[in-house]
Amino acid sequence: MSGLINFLTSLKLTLTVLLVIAVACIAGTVLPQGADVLKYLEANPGAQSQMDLLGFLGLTNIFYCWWFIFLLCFLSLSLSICTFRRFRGALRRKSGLRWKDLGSLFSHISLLLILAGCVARSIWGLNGYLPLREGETKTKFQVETGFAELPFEIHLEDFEIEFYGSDEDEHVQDSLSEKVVVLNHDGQVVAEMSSELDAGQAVGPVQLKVLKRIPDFVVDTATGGVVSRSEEMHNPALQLEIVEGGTTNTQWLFALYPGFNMHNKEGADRPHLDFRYEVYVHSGSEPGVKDYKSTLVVKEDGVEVKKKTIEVNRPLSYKGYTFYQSGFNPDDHKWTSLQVVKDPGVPLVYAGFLMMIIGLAMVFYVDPNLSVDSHGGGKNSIE
Amino acid sequence: MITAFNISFALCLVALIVAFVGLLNKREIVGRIGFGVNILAVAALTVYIVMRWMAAGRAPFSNMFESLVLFAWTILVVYIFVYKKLKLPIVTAALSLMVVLTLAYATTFGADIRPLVPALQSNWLTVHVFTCFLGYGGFAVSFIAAISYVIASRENSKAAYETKDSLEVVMAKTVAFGFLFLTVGIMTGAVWANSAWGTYWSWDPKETWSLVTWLVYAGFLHCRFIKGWRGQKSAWMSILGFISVLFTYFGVNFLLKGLHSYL
Ligand code: HEM
Repeated sequence: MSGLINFLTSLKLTLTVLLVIAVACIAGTVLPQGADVLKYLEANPGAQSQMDLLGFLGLTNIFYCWWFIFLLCFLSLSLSICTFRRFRGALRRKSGLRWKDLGSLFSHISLLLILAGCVARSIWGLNGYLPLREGETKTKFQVETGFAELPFEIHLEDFEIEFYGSDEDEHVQDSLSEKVVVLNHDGQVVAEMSSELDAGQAVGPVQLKVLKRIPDFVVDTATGGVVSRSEEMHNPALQLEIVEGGTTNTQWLFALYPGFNMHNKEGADRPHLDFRYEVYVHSGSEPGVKDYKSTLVVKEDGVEVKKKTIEVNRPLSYKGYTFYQSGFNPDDHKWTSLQVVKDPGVPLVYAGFLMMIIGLAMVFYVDPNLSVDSHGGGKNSIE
Repeated sequence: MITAFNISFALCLVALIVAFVGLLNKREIVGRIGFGVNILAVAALTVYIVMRWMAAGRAPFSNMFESLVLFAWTILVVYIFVYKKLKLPIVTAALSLMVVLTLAYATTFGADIRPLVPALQSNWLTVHVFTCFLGYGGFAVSFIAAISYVIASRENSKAAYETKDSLEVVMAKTVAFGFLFLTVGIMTGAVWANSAWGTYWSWDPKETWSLVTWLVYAGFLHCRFIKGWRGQKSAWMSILGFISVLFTYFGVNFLLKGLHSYL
């Protein structure tokens, strides 16, 4: 029995496990994962059976598949036993405890804390989406399986979008570059494509194509058609064709007015993606979104308990729930879209981070043995 | 401002030339001159980075050009710190060459200052990029030491025992330094992601590759300090680690897509 445990906690096996994890990670960045599989199949229709096999082996969802989780569990277990033994050994040693022992203990326990934090997130965590209109108050948010209840009320007092172009950004730009950015409804960038005419790209099951590109967009009042007033990039606009599931939509995107998308079709047919046409020009009229902010009020039983203006990178947290500014509704600037996260594992993970950094610094710099016996069989050698 | 860049580039070129002279003429004074030039180069590069920082109103670490300049800076800084241990002309020459190539590569990207998308406007980002690159700087120096070690270990090599010994020590010290800062870099990146997106880890290719790099160097440290691996074996691990660094830095940008594709 103890022989088995010795084998399971041997450094050799552990290093092998680390190696396997590293190889699995590499595979996870090379093989199409999750939603990318669909995209891949579209490009290579003949690959269905290969993809099925990969899927069966967990290779199309490596980071969440059973054997990857198993490897992490195994690592945690052997790490716990190994760390415990070493530390016990160090405590019993006649020469007493050294800083290095503590550093090594810290750097290993920290790893366990971080992994424990991830487990806590996957068990008790929630991740959802909350669209709010100015003046509105809600107590629920959307999650994958439906709605989750908040233990308080959340109210949107104000929403604002700022664009580049104010004079503080004068130093920017001496060249011109442009692109189309594809976002999901949480405001996360999922793809980028060139703004060249005829440039096409598939994003998941959606096929995109640039139909027209107009430097100075105006609608000709006589004909009702779109024309360019000049060759200058005064009002760059781009028409995108969106083909999804057999239906074709077109949409105008304006670099200067990222929120103002002219849909040729409204309502249910709207694609599940947002688009931004980004142009960086020299002239100082810098388009593109600089910032967007929501002023949120937390209420309990109708009474205000907390108020904060959030923006990307500056979320609001209350009672374990964190509200992130994730996007805005391009059709209507009175709406904000928030991401709501409840992650009870974060304190564990952050404690682990701190502990690992302190531990490593102790091992390497407080009581270092890096220059001692640099040739052949170290004094730490346990093999 | 661009003059400051050109001056630093020129100084790095001078350092490279001096280093090559040093290969032929092994006198101590040549090495000292080269070291002095490198110090000037770091100073000039620091001035450039600070000027750019002030002009942009944010840390200049957010695109390929800026990060390559930072990379050159960290390589030089780490080199200056280990110089006492490693007064080998061949190492100096290899490092100078690496710095010059890095800066030359930087000039192929636009040097204009761009505004940042909201997600990038964060102090965590500054700390994240800076610490990651300090780590990369450490790994780069370790890589050069490792390559030199492998070359010095060939049968017909005349390399002295002490030479190999100091290469060995520098190789491990710089990995330890790099590992500490890569760890801080990955962790501050996670904190930043959590404050921007509500998740500290999302398995995007750059994150995943930084983990791979981290695991390789964790392997290096355990093999060297616990299993007592020395010499060529650990040199090859350092080389493997640096290949992983390069892939994390360049390969992911050009071959794989993800959240980090702007850098
Ligand atoms: C992947 C994350 C890991 C990191 C960052 C890490 C880090 C470290 C560090 C910095 C040291 C000290 C090196 C020295 O003494 O100079 C160390 C030692 C050690 N590690 Fe790890 N380690 C990791 C995983 C593991 C695992 C999974 C095991 C085993 C099951 C393990 C077993 C050991 C042992 C036995 C020592 C020697 C302890 C001592 O000297 O007190 N490590 N580790």
